[in-house]
Amino acid sequence: MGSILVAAIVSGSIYALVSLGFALAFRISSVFNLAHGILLVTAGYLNYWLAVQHGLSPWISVPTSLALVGALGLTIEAVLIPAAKTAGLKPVDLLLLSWLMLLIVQDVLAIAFESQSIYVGASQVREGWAVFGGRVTPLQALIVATSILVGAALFLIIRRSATGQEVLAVGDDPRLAMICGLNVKKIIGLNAAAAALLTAGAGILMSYQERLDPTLGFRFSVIAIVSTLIGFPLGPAGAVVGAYVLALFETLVLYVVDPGLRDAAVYAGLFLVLVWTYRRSLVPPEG
Amino acid sequence: MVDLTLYVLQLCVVVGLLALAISFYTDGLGYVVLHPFALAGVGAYVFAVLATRYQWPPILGALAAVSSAALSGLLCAEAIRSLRGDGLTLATFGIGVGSFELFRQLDITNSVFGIGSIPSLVGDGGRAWQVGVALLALLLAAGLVRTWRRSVGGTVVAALRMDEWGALSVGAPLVAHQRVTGLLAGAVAGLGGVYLAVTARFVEPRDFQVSGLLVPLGAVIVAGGRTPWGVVVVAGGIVLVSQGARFVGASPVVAGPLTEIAIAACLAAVLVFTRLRQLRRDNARG
Amino acid sequence: MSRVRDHLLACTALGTFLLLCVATNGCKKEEGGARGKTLVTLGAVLPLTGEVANWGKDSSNGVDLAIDEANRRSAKYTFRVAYEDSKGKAAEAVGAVRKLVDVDKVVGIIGDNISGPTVAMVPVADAAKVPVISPSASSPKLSGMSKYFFRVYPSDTAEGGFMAEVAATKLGLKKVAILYINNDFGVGLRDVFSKGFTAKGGQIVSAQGYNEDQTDFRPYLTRVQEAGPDGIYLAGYYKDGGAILKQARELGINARFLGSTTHEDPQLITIGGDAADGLVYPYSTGYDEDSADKAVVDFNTAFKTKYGKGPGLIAALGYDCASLLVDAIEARGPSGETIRDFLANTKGYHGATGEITFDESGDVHKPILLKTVQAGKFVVWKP
Repeated sequence: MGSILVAAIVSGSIYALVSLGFALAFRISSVFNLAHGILLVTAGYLNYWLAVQHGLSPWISVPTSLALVGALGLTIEAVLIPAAKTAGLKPVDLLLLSWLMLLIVQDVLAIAFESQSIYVGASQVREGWAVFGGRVTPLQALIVATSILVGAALFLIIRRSATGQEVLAVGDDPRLAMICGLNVKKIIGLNAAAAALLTAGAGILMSYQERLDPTLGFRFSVIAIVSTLIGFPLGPAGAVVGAYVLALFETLVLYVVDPGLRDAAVYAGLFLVLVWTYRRSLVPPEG
Repeated sequence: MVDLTLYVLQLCVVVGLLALAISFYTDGLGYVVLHPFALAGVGAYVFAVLATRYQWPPILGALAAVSSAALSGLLCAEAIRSLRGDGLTLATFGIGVGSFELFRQLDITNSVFGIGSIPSLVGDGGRAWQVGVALLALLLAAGLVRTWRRSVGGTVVAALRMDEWGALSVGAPLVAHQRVTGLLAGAVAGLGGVYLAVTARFVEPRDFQVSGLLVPLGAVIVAGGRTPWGVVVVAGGIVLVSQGARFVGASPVVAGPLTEIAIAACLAAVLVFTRLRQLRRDNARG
Repeated sequence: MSRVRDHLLACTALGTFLLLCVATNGCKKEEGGARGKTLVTLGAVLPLTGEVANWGKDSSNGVDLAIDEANRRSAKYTFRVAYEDSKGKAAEAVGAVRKLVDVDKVVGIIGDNISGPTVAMVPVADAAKVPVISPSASSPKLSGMSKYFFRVYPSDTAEGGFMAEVAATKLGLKKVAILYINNDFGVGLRDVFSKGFTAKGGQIVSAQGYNEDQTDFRPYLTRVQEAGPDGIYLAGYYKDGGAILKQARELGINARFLGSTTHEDPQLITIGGDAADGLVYPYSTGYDEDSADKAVVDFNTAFKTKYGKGPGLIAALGYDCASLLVDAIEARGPSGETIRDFLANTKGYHGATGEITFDESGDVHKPILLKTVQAGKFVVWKP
């Protein structure tokens, strides 16, 4: 039992890191941005290109990748999405556009890297530390700790700090926030940058932990959406809780139902959480 | 060239049917849905299993397949009844991808191996006239939809699409229309799945991935709420253009992902353009 | 006015796309028939994009080399290859074959690398009486599927059965768990291995399938660990295999790992690191790049000259497919039936991947070598 829980927690920690960035962006934009996963994959591949193919030191490749992908995320969340909303595009249009953007970037990465998987981690593989019947490597422990700490920090910042309150205000009603004197553009920009950096950081960490494929962006976008919606009542940091819940649900399906339905569990989770979250209880029942 | 042309025309029929299924929702109630490929999969697999494993006559198998898909469409419509907007679209996306995972796992669908040796619907002779009949049937179906849209029922659906609360307040039967839309979309998508099965004579789970909706969804968006004929013709046109790379002998490595990039980029541009044009018109009216 | 503008925009987009298609046509090598020679077109349906794109690329390198050599050598024919991308999907492969048969009028087809698209396309080629020769499709379903189908790579029945025998007798394993990729290759190997191993008194304690894009195998491995196997059979590819080996080491799993021919790829070592050491796998292709056989030596030299790198198995298989078709055409002429007859009667052909003899089912039987990974290198296994 312990080893199952440990495996679920390690999986959940990766989901949590990926979901935090999405949750932060979603709190303001309210857009199911399926293209969010491309930030994760692009960061991983960029770091690989710089560190492995060009032999740069990680002290250069990692910050460069973070900066470039951060700029990409900033452009999407702080420039393109607000412009689209101002022009009158509906959330469903933005959902479709984000899906199309994901397909385009995936294909571009597949062409550029000839559909190769990448892995930047060490070639020496060590047995993990024994923890509650399971095993955890130092990097995995770091990812778990990072996800919990960053989640907790985000929770406190959003709930207790002025910046956090401003983010919530802009997310709830940007026009009212502007009328109340908040610099909406600046807040959206800061939020988008933070979200993109979190996701890019997750992608780079993942590439040191396991292999990345160009097509992973879609799967992690869906995971991020499900985790965010599960943890929605707790605010953006609730995505951490949502991620661990999703990982546990996946593991449960794997053990109790069928190992091959592990991925199906994520999509079932997507469907269930959407039906639960978006019920229109105000629709009069047809009598 | 004739055989390939007939094959491409058959693909046009399949995509046209799928586009019509999406159009039932999008140009009807105004919902953007992404699960018709899953319904097509239900149709294709039910037909394949009945025709190959249980040796049903193909016509009966097709009827059973279309009915199963219609029932699945109805069940999906019930499940998403209370959702709207991007939540509804995403939920149907989940249904679509989840169904693909199920097709990959179940023994009855022969899991990842797929089902081959699928018989033709009306025998192997005279393929050209069969394709011609299929195209005519598709255009006839589109015509029937157009006729219905001009009827009282169609007017009620249009009212629900434009102002749901307003229509409800004057007694429009929303739930009944949601159910009928689900049923019809399921039936038409199921027919598309059956036709795909008899065209390729082989079905496997990868035939029903959500990314395959790119073209029929694109057709619906490009047609921009025009008549069902417009949807069907645009769907066929996109298939001809995307298969055009083969006809002109373009390099397959470049053509493969580039075609997908080109279709996705064009679709994005058309979506933005169509929506902005609609907004300009609404503002001008208002 | 706006309607005119709409139409203009639509036509511009359409025209740009078509222009792109025509322009990319220029990227393809055109080999017209030289004076006095007959132009013969062969088709190739390969996964040039998608999950196994590197196999498609490697095969096409081998095919191109064979065609270049044939064009230099042949006094009668000029050969060209029309490539189509199956993307690893059955429906694409079917469309590709129809185009090759209908438009390009090919007399023989090379492809596909994987079983799913091959199973779908063989009936179409059979109906058109065009021989198909596959470099690496290994599903047992393909054996005897059509008298026009041949392959230079052995059926999974050979490899799966061999590993079951190795696990039970050579390695003395009693309880084996199977981790298989959820596609026709993985499921096929799972079934053949399970049948063979249990027939020899062994026990399959767990069999878990994972999807192709899976990167996190910890939950599967934890479940396998609980079953307490002394061996774990990996019925998948090098990408997932490398990840499984790495994660298994991290989880402290000490079982003996058994693999497949598909695990021999440098990426297994890149992803799996030193956790890949000790993996025992069959090399069922007969390909030995250090062989002194003239055909192998000549192929290696020519490949390195043309591409500046060593060939590898998949390129060699592609080369053999194209060479066999070329030899058939030179011997019997460019007709589907005569090519088919030539291939069916091929015995003891010396190719880049060793000796090739087709049986009545179109299958080839190659000696199986047991190999392992040692200090990051693929070497022959010595107990």
